Amino acid sequence: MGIGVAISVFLHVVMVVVAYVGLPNLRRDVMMEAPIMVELVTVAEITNAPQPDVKPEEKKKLEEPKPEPKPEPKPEPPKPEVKAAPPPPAPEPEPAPPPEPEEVAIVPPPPEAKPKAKEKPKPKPEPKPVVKEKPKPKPKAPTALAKVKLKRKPKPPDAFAGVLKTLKDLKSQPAPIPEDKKEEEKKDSKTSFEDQIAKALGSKKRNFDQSRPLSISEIDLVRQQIAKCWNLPAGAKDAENMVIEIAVAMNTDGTVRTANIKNTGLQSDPFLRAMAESALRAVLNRRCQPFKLPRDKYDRWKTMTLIFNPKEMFGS
Amino acid sequence: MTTIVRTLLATILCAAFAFQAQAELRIDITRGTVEPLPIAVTDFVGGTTVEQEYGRGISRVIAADLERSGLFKPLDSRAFIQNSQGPGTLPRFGDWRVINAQALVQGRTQVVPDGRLKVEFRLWDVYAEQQMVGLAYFTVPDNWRRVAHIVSDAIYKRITGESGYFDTRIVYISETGPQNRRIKRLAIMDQDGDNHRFLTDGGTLVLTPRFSPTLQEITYLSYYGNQPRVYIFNIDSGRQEVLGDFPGMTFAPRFSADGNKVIMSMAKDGNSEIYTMDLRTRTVKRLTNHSAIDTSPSYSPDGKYITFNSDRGGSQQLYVMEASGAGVKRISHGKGRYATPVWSPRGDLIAFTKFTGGRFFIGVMRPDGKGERLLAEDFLVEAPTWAPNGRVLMFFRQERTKEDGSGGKSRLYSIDLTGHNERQVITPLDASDPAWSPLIP
Repeated sequence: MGIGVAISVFLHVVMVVVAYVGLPNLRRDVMMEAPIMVELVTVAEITNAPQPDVKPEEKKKLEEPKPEPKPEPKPEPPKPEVKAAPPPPAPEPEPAPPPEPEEVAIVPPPPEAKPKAKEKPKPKPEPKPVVKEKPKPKPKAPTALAKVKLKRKPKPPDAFAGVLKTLKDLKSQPAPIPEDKKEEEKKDSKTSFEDQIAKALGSKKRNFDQSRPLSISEIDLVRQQIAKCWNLPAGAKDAENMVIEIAVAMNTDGTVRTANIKNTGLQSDPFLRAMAESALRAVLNRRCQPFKLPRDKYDRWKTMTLIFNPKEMFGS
Repeated sequence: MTTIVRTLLATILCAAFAFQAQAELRIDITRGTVEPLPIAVTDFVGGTTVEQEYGRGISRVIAADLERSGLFKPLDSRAFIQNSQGPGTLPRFGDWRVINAQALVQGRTQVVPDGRLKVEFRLWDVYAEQQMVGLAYFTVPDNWRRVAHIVSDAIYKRITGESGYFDTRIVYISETGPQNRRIKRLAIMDQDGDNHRFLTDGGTLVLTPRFSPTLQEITYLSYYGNQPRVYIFNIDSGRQEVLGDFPGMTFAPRFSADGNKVIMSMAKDGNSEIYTMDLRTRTVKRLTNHSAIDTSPSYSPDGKYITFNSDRGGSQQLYVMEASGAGVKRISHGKGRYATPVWSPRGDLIAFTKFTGGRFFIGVMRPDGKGERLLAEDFLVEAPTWAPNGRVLMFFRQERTKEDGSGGKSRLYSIDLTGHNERQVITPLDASDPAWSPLIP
C-alpha cells in the first residue's frame, strides 16, 4: 500500500517534471513554423502579445546595439590578419587552380558557315515531284490575329517579388500582388503569432525571466534580419527541398564570430553547395548584424544553429 | 521495489538532461530574397596596352552576361576601392565588403610568345574570403569574346550550381519587307546578339529552325522549290541536306536529346501524324495514328517520352506519350488552346504557347500537367526555346499590324524561369522563331 502510494506520487512527480521540462521542446516546434517576413519598425510591434513588461527592457537592449555597430570594424580588422595566416599554405603563387590550359586554342567555328551556307542551299535539294497541298505549317496566320482587339505593352519586368511568377490570375492586376500578399501574410501572421505565443507560453507566467529561452519575438527578429541578407539562387532545381544547417558562434555584441556549414556532400551536389554558400553569405554579411538579441541572455545564443530552408518561398 | 524507484529516478534525470541538452538555440530561416547577387568584375589586368584592351573587353562582356541573367548585379567599377589587381594576389576583402560586393572576379590577359591569348581569372567569395574557382584559357586573340562567355559560364555555374548558357548561339528567322511579301532568312548570332550573320540569302522561305542538342547542326523547314520539307544544315561545314523522302509535307522538326533522331510531323491527305527518323540508319517510324491533327512533337531529355499537341480531344491540347507512341495521355486541362510544347533540357518542365481570351501566352508546366505558370503574354508570343541549362526561355513577340500597315514589329525576348527577368534580344531586323544552341563544344 505504502509502496503503491509512493509509486503513484512518484509517477505524478514524473508527469509534472516531464511536462515542465518538456515544454521547451514544444515551443521549438512552434517556432519552426513562423517564418513570416514582416517589416518591423520597433520591437514593440512584434512583441504585441504577451510580456508587456518586457518591452521597455528590450527596447533599451535593442537600441543600445546601434552605437555598437561602429565598434564592429574592430572585429573586422583582425580578420584579414587571420586570413592572412591561412593563405601561406596557398599563397599568392596559388598557381594550383589557374593552370587549366586545356582549352588550348579555342577555334572560332563560325567563319566558315556563312559563305558555304549561301552556296549550298542551291545545289542541295533534289526535291521530289510530289506537289500537293501547301498548307501553311506552323506559322499562325497573323491576319486572323489582327482582328484581336486587345492591346497591351510588354509588361515591364517587375522587381523580384515572389520567386516564381505566373501571369495566370494576373490579367487584371499585374505587379502589385506581392504587396497584397505581404499584407495578407501580415494579417495571418498576427493571428497565428498570437496562437503560437499562447501555445508556447500559455502554461507559463508572463513575467520576463532572464534564464528563460528567448521569446518568439526575439527569435523572429533575428530570423528577419538574416532573411534580408539571404539571397538565394532563384530557380534552382528542387530548391524547396533543400535544408542547410549553419553552426554559428556569436560574439557578445551580437555579431557572428564563426559560421560553418554543417551539411555534408556539398562537393558532389553543386546545387546544394550553391544554396549552402548563399546561406553562409547571409550569416556572414555584416550588413545584417549585429543580431538583435538580448545581451543579457548571451548564454542562450552564444552558439546556435541556423536552419535555412526556402520551402515557404515556393508555395506548393 | 527500490530498484524500480531508482530506475525511474535515473530515467527522469536522463530525460531532464536530454531536454536540457537539446535546448541549443535553433532558428529556422524559411524566407530569403531573390535579388541579384552583387558581384564586382574588375578589369582584367595586362602588361601591355593591347593586353589591357582585351582585359577591359573581356570583363565588360562578363559583366554584361551576368547582368542579363538577372541573377547578378555587377557593381559600378567607379565604386571600387581596390582597383584592378591581378588574380595572383589575395584581394583586400574588407574593401569589397564595404561596397557590398559578395563575389569578386579578377583576371589577367597575356599574349604569350606564340601569339595566343592567355586569359586567367579567379572568382572570390568576399564573405567567406575564399577562392571559389580559378581557371586559365588559351585562345587566338580574335576569339576573346568567346573566352569571356566561357568565363561567365564558369562563374554562373560555381555560384548557382547550374551550368551556364553564355557560350551559346541563337539561330532565328530574320524578317524584312511587307507582311504579305516577307523575306525570311535564317540568321545566327551569339547569345548576346554579337557576331550576327545570315545563313541563307532569303530566296527561299525558311521556318522553324531547331538546334541539335549535341552538334552545331540545325534542322528546319524550307520551301525550296515550293516544296516544304525538313532539312538539316551543319553550321561548321555549311552542308545542307533534305531529311528523308516523304510522300507528304514534313514540318515541325526537332532533334532528340542525344541528337541521333529527328522527330517531326508529316501531313498527308489533310491529316498530320508524328514520325521519327533515326539519323544514323535513316529509318522512319510512324508514332501516332489518329484522325486528329498531331503535331509539334518534342522528346524528353532522356528520350523516353514525347510531348506533342493534338486536337483529338476537340480542342488543341498538349499530350505526352512514350517514345514508342504508346500510352498517350493528355496533360493540359486549362482553358484555351495549347501548342508547341518543348521539353526542358533539365527535364522538369514543358514550355508551351497558349492561346486564350484573345491573347497568347508563353508558359511552363510539369510533365504531368501540374504547376502551370504563364510567364509572358501579348498579342502574339510564340515559339519558346530553352537555354541549354533549362533555366531561361527565348521566344518571339509580334505587335499588332495597324490598319495602315504599320506596326507588326517582331522581336526576340528571353525570360528566366522565375518570370521576373524578361529582356529583349537585339536583332538588326525583325525576328521570329528563335532556337537556342547547346553549349558550344
